[in-house]
Amino acid sequence: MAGRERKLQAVPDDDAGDVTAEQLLVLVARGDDKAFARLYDVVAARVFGLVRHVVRDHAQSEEVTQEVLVEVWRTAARYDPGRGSAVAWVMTMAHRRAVDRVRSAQAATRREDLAARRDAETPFDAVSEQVAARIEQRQVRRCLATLTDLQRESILLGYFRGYSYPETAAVLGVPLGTVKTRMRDGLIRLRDCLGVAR
Amino acid sequence: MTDNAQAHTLIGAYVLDAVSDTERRAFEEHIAGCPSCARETAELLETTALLAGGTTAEPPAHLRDRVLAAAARTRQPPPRTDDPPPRRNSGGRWPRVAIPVAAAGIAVAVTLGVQAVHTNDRLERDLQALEQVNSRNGQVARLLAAPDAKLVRGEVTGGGTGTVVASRMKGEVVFLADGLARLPEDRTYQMWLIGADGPRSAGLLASSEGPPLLASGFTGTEAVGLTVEPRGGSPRPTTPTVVVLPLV
Repeated sequence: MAGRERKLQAVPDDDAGDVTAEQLLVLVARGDDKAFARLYDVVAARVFGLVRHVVRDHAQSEEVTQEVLVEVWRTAARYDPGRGSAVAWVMTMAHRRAVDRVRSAQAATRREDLAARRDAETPFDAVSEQVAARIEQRQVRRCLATLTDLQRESILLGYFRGYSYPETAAVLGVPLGTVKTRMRDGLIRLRDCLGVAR
Repeated sequence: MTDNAQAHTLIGAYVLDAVSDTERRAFEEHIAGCPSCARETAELLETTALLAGGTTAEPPAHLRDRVLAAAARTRQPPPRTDDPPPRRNSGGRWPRVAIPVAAAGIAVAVTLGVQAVHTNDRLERDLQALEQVNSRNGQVARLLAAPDAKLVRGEVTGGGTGTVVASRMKGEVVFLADGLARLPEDRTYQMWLIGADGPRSAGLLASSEGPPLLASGFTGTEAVGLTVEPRGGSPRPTTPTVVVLPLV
């Protein structure tokens, strides 16, 4: 197919440099499997890293990562570059899938596991700092440090653990309204700090 | 209006996937009619994507082959390149409203060169510790962990909502207040476990926005009710309930 060949030329295998994830996704939407392989290389570590934090079980994390990426392949035509970046589109899908996975029957197991291991006596502030410190990307780490403890904890537990906001409120021992507010104003502060385009 | 305002406060929780399905639908309806909200939502989703970018982990090599093979077997809906991209997206939470976000600018902000981060296991351990240490009220965490934990939510007369998580196995119930009307100095909210023998006091809510209130002795046959009582509480309810959350 002539059209197909043109696309392959547009994304030569040996030129990994200049093509954006947005452009790859547009090609994927047209059935370009080479572009999909390239997109995999761009986003898979990101997706797997996030899913693993939320899902925690290695085998299931692989399953969810596969589901997400196949869904990216299948629904790539729905991606609209006017509404945001390709990476955010993929990560949004990944997070949702991961949370769906842990929200059902596994939630109980996951938290029993947590309850069983509750013997750590680490001072709270130290732990909170460690969590932020382990998030390596320098700018993200710097921006997380500008949040209040409650903003940071609400966001980390919600995002990396998939806790609902009532669960987050219960775990942190604060009112529901407070958690909702901290999730929002914490994300807004992160957004401004990270310079997400407005 | 009230519904919209209520939905809008959920924007952070929505972006973090920390809402129920019902709340998600309400929020998405809300932003469908509110371009500035949809825009804020999109920006915050970009923000969380950057947060995830700090925790990459190389998947096992065999996953790549599996994914590519699975994609090769998976049909894409026929492309309709002359149509504008669809505004609805059942596959993701992308806001339905067109948002004039400068995608190019964002693409620059998102670092595509994926950096291998070797400290994920430590992040994982630290997250666990964070959860554990934060479970100051260990009972609440155990209650949430109960396989039979049941969550019920209801509107409270006078404003706000009450949420109850209860477990018959644990014999415990926790009440979470959200946005309850402020009471005069000489009044307090009192929680009741309502069973066959009538209401039994389960404690006082410190304030209209107080921390979760935990009560034990829950046998699974009750509803949880809330009344407004004189300061210090009453042995029996003296006013009509402002909310009753049935647990059976």
